[in-house]
Amino acid sequence: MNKIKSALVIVALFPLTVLADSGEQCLSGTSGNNHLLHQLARVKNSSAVSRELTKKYNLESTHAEPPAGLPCASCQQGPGSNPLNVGNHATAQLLRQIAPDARLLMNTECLSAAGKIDAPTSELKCPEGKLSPKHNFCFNSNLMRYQNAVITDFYKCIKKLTNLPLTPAGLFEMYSLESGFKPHYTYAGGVGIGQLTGIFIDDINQKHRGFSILKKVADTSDADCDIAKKIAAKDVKAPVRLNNNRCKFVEYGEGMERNVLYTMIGMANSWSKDLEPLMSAYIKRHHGNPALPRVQELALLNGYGPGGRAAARAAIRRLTKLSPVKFATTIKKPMYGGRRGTNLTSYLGKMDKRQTQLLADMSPSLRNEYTKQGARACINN
Amino acid sequence: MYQQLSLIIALLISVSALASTPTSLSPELRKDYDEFQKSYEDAVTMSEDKAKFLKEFKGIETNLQKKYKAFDKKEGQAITNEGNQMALDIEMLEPLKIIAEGNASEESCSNAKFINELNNQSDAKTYDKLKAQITKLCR
Repeated sequence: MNKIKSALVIVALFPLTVLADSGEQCLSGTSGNNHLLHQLARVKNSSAVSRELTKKYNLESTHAEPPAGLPCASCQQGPGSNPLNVGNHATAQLLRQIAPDARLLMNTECLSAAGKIDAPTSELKCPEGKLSPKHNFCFNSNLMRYQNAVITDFYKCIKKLTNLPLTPAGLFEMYSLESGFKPHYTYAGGVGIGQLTGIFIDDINQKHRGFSILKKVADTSDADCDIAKKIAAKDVKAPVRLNNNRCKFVEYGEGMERNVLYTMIGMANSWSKDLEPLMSAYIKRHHGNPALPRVQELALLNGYGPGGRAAARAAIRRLTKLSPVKFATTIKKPMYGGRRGTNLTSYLGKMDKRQTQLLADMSPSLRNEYTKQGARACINN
Repeated sequence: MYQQLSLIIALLISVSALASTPTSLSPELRKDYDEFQKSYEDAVTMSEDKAKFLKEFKGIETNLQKKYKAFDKKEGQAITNEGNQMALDIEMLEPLKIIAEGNASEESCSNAKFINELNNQSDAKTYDKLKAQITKLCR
């Protein structure tokens, strides 16, 4: 009986699969300008990192196997119905059209809204390293799904190894602002999906700063870090810097993936070395306060922005005299200095503005959810 | 009609100027802030004599911290621009503190240079001043 049901579903959804395989619409860039799509298709065979991510998250559109030993999440129909056969991969693919990417952190619709934002920046073509504002590479939801998998996998790893106070919703807010999740956006001030800068990467390579976290990832035996450690283990032996190596933080295979890993390691480094020490007494004092996790996240995100380390720390110095609720509202407003007018919190205002921009591209039901619960509405359970 | 329009524009300009004017401080807080700024300038320009720097910097930095804390306490729940500036100034001084605590050792100099680089985007002018200071102290 189940087989008949599956066959009916396959027949009914056949046109959808044909549509998906024949090329999805670009979220940004020019249709048919498939440099990024070709690059990703190539590295899914040639790069161990991409191959394993593709297999683990069932990203192959035609020949992938279900993840070894795991029931396929996309096969689950939800309460009250029978799960279809585990391992029936064709069925899983078809169902992904209905309940897409249930194992991935971020909601497809939100990612599509973020991906539609075209920033007036240059794009990097790799491996050539050619920078131009006119590449206009097509960036579509297949690429976005892959990036969602990278973020999901590395986030899980870094959360296990560090005390990073970052939620998936915070990550969504941050990447939406930095690049709209585009791996190839690059200019003098930042490279790739996380818009990493040279000093941010150098900080990870400093023995007394972020290197210990990179090494932790390289040395761990935690299965959740199996893929991330492939990059970390190489980089511990031969540090990768940004100078003349921008494709190492952009190109699919290990570049875009390294960018995501370094974003998270860098944030964990900034938290443990720069921000948490200033906040530790405050965290103790307000332990259990429901606003405290968001306070920590906002302080961290502010530190990720272009305002620099000293401004992020100064904002914390100022705001730890307030209650967590007041802290969380005040840090989102401009905090200007008196002598030179530096804004200690410019990043968070921009982040909020970007989120408001995304609402226009959301369906009414998602917009409604987003209005109620913020970027948490963009996170899969 | 033209006069009315000019009046409206003038009114809008004054309102926006008023909106962007920093919170006015009480005379007491203004005095504290000015004193802090004077000590701060002394602190960022004292590298001419390395021995004097190593001997005196810690005391000056502690004094600045005390001044900021007193200001912060008097401010209460308010967040003034001047308080923000003082907090930023203290943070920007950290590289010099590292050198003073490390007795200008090679390691402390290297750490101080790096922290100053990390602080570059927060206050480029102070970064430049400190870069010159660090070079003098660490040669």
